[in-house]
Amino acid sequence: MIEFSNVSKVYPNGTQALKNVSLKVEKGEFVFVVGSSGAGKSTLIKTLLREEKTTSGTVFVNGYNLGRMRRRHIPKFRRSLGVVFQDFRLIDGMTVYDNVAFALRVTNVVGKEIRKRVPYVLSLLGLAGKAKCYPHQISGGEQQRVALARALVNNPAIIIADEPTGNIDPELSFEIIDLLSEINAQAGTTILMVTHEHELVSYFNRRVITIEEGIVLSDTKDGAASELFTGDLVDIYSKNMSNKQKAIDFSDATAAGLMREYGQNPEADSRFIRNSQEGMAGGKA
Amino acid sequence: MRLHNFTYLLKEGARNVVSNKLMSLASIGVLMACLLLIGSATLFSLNVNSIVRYVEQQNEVVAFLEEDLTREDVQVLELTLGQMDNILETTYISKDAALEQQKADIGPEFEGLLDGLEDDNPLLDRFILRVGDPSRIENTVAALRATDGILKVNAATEVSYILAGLKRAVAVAGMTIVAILVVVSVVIITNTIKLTVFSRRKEINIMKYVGATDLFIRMPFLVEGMLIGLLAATLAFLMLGYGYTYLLEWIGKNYAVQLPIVIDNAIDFWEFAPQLLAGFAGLGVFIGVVGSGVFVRKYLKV
Repeated sequence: MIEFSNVSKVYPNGTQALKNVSLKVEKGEFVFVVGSSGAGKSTLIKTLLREEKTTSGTVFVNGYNLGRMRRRHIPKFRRSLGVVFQDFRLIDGMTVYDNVAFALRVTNVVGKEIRKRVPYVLSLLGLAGKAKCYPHQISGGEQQRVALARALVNNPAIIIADEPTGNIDPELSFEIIDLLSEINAQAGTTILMVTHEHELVSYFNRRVITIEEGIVLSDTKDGAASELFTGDLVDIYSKNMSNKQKAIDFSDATAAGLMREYGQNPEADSRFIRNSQEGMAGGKA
Repeated sequence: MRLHNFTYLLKEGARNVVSNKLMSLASIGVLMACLLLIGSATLFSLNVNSIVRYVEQQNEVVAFLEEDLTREDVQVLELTLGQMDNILETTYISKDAALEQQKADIGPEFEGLLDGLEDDNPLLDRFILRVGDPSRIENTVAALRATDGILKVNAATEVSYILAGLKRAVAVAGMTIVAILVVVSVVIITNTIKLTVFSRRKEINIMKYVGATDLFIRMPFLVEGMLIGLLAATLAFLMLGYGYTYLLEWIGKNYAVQLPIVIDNAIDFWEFAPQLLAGFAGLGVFIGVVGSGVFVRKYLKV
């Protein structure tokens, strides 16, 4: 799914961001990438997205050899990925619905398909009621869920999350990772999440790749074992979660099947359908 | 490209123009000024051409005779002139006939001014010659001057030269100003697009990550440039059309006596309006597209 072989990256200014990095992420894995700032995490993401070319070594993602890929094939390649950023990158002037639909509109998806997929993904992430809201009207956690919905709406094989919890309240960080875990478990989507919050990593106990100064320092299957420290955050989260229901309820979506068959629009209520039609009024053509 | 995408891109382009009101206005203004100047220069040249053509069509050369010629001398001269190359017709007008003609020209009110000149007529006898090919008029005039018995030759050549010189000067000055303005327009439009790119960098960034093609990302900016070009062209066209028509009317009202040749030979704007509008639109769109299309890549880095 993702394979780095002896990848080095030297920027024109001489900075050596990656030094002979080799790693492999299999289909359906959930991987944390940790490391202090300047360790090479961002460069790793950039090479993954083919924003940067490697100086040497090869990168395979979703069967694409990124080093040999032609420029004009980049868009097609990126459509097979979903990306989530620390700063959400939602468009302020667009509603939640339009923000998610935007990803489809700009990639030649027909209106009919958009009207089907967007409501589905929104309801999957518990955002159906927020479809008409603008980003500034919802919380940071919800904004990140919208960003996740946008990443998910193309039904990507891989989701790359670059510090997705960096800008939201600590309690909500767990919620986002819970969501990613659900997507990973139910739909089999490969998840690669970059973070520097060790509490999260140890709490969720997944494979952890540690990068420092451009090299892979450690790669363990058991996050909790490698990073043995729990903070107050985990306590706060546990307390919160025991009191209220998890924000996201996947129980009504029959998981992997539904993720692939967007056709089965899970009982979207009539109000929502009206919303979505308004949202699409311009895109009909 | 599918239809729904096309509509989307058009809408995005229009949104760009509206959301950057100030810079869009600046671009439209400069481009409009540029087109107005081009249009004015074109109209001026066309009118000068028309007047020059009119003057050339007159093809009249007046040859004044020396005073002490006998009737026989004049008859011989008339024969000589009639056989000269490029002269189609000769008409003899005596100085008395010329005086009568002038009296008639200035009208009965002022006729009295010329009274008393009959006895000591200051005018000269003359031949009015009609010339065939105006381009060879210079040779003809030279030949006439070399002919015995001819004192002076008046030809419209000087007027033609002045007008032709004027035409050239207008063309050169016009082209220079227009060239400068075209460059300025392109720079300003490029700047406008740069601002749009900046104000929408988030959307562009997202588009890149979700896999929109370069063409798709760039298209709204092309549309923006095109719209600016079209708007500027339409405005410039209308302003030029009404301005020119108004100017002609004004000249007609106030300078009908002094400038009859201008009034009679003025180009009717609406007669060649379609070509002008097409030219304007073409140029406007071209500059808009060059401004946005060629340079947008630099700022987009898609």
